[in-house]
Amino acid sequence: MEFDVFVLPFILGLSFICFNLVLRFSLWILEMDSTAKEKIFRSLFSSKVFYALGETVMECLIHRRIFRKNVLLGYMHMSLALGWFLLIVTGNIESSIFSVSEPNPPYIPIFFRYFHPYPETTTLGVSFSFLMDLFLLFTLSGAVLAWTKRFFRRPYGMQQTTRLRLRDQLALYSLWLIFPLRLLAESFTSGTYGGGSFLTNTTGQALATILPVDKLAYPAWWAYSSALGMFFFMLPWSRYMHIPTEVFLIYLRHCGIRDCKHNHSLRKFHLNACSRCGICIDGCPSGSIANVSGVQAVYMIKQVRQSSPSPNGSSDSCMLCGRCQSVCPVGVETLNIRLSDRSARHCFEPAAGGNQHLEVRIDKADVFYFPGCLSSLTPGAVHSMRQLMDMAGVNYTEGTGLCCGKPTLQAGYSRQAQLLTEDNTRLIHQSGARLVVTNCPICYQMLSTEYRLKIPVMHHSQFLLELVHEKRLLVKKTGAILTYHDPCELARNMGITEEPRELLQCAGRIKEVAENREKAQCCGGSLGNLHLNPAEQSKITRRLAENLSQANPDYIVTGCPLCKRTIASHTQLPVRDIAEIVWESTQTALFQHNDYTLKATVAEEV
Amino acid sequence: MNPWGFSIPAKREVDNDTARTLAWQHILQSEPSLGNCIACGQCAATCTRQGKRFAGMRLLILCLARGENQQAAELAMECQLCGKCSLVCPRGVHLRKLSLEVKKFFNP
Repeated sequence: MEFDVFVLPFILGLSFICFNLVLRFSLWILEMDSTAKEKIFRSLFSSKVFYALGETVMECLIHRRIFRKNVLLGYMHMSLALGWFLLIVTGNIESSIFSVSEPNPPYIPIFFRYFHPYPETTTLGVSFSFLMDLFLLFTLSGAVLAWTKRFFRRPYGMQQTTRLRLRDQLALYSLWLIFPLRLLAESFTSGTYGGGSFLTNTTGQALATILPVDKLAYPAWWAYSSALGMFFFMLPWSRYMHIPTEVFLIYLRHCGIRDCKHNHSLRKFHLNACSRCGICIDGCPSGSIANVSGVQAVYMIKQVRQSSPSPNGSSDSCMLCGRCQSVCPVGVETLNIRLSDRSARHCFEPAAGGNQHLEVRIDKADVFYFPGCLSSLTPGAVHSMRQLMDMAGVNYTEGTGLCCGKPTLQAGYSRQAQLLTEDNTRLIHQSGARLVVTNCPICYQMLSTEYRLKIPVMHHSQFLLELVHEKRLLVKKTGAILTYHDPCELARNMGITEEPRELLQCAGRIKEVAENREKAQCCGGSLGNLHLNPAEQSKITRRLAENLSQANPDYIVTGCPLCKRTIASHTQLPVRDIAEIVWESTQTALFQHNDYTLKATVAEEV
Repeated sequence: MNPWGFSIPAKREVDNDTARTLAWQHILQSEPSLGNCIACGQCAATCTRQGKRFAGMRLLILCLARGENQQAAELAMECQLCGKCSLVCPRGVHLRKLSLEVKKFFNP
């Protein structure tokens, strides 16, 4: 068996990382409850494995989601991941074909050129050398791009990159060193003995003219092995833990294990799968507009990873707008991590007796209208909804002033929120309704995801659109130019972006702003924020109001009472709820209709 | 047993020993905008948590100032943190944050 003492750093690092990862992952999976374990085991023998494998290739190696954000950034991540992966795979095949020693230990493919320095003469050998050089060049281009990204971020589509801790920096520098050192070591060997292909051979021959390559080769192999060993030793304590964790996370997601709010071991997978790529930094409204430091998902996750619950402060300034979650290339559930961190900090029992204020009698009806408590500050929407439902002949009952429980849940008081949801659920079911309609996206998300309702929940934009389609509401297109602001809860968290637009198209002409749908900005009034003061919040609102005014519309339209209230205080333009716009357009339609019938009757009389 | 027939319910006891020293001072420190309150009552008017169980912030602030700490704590626990009081406050008191601070102070 071939061996040299310089492979020791690599061997030690590799054994350490294998032992560490197996121990960690098995502990995390053992901590899960029995249903989750059963799902994991069963999915091993189903087609889900292949789907997970497909996604692993697309996301962990090719980095498709990062390509969608920025091509150069995507290429950088891809060349490092895919290039290294191909080097390992091709190296293994090459060594299994050409290696003379019978047991083929794992260090042989890595240091193949050292143990087999003489040039290959067969076509197969030459083509393998060519491939290895090609992949090395591919990976090196990624390393160079990664290095330049530290200084020039704009071409990569990023305004800021992550501030790194010491252990991250150590791992990062050793990773950057691995590939140039490999190039050097192989070139020196190639310069001494010949061999290699277009890259290592050329570099080796060039270096041989100015340097004593035969003496330098051995130290270069030592350095290469040490860089690898260093990287492996730092991996579990640094951000590169995401490399093994992401693969597991993708598999768990395909097994149907989601929602890390109540699943602590899944939360550990999510926390460790964050690669600190920093893509979430630029979009964060609290971070980039209100200038709060440490609130962005990447830093929050770092804090929670160090100590859970995290020390009070930065996470409380978060708007829970979900922009970080929607751009995350790994799909880390940042909102759930924040929420469970908040509940870990505020874990006390609510006031005795729960919510006895709900001794309300509720009328029987087909539709339960849930206006949401914030609508009491912007009653225009509720008024229009009542008129519209009366007009369409909807048999409804109203839960005026009810709180859905989302604000307490977002503040981390999950037990108090749970009591409220139970009481509200009882009330809704008492009414015998077959549908719940709400005009508040905050309530809509809460009612759809946290309540265990037996009946469907609709946002009022969906409900009104259905009424229009059924011709129970007669709307008339007015000439008004409308700019629609997507509320965070509705667009990003619940994915409802098209229904409001379709409805508004019936009533007017929509002029879009640049950041719309899932990319919409937060209005700044969010109840997710526990810490920012009104002055800081208004910075965020001002930015949004400016952006919305750029389209120069007749009305700014939104589907959320809180967004409406917040935006209205920062702009001269009139801000309306969807329901108000629809109500106005039905009035126009009615007026024209009446006018027409009046003319017709007059004509008949004449 | 009180022989004169007069009494103060425990909840309404004014505690001047600790009033404006402990709870009030601590909460004023963590949310300085509390000092701007003029007790106009707009927060109480907009609060939807009214009726049998009231959670108006005006009463909560008055209780805190008087040292009626038990009632202040109960009121804070009733608050559902919807934040309408913060939105309507003409003096810019960050009432939602205040409610959170009171909750935290009495239930550490």
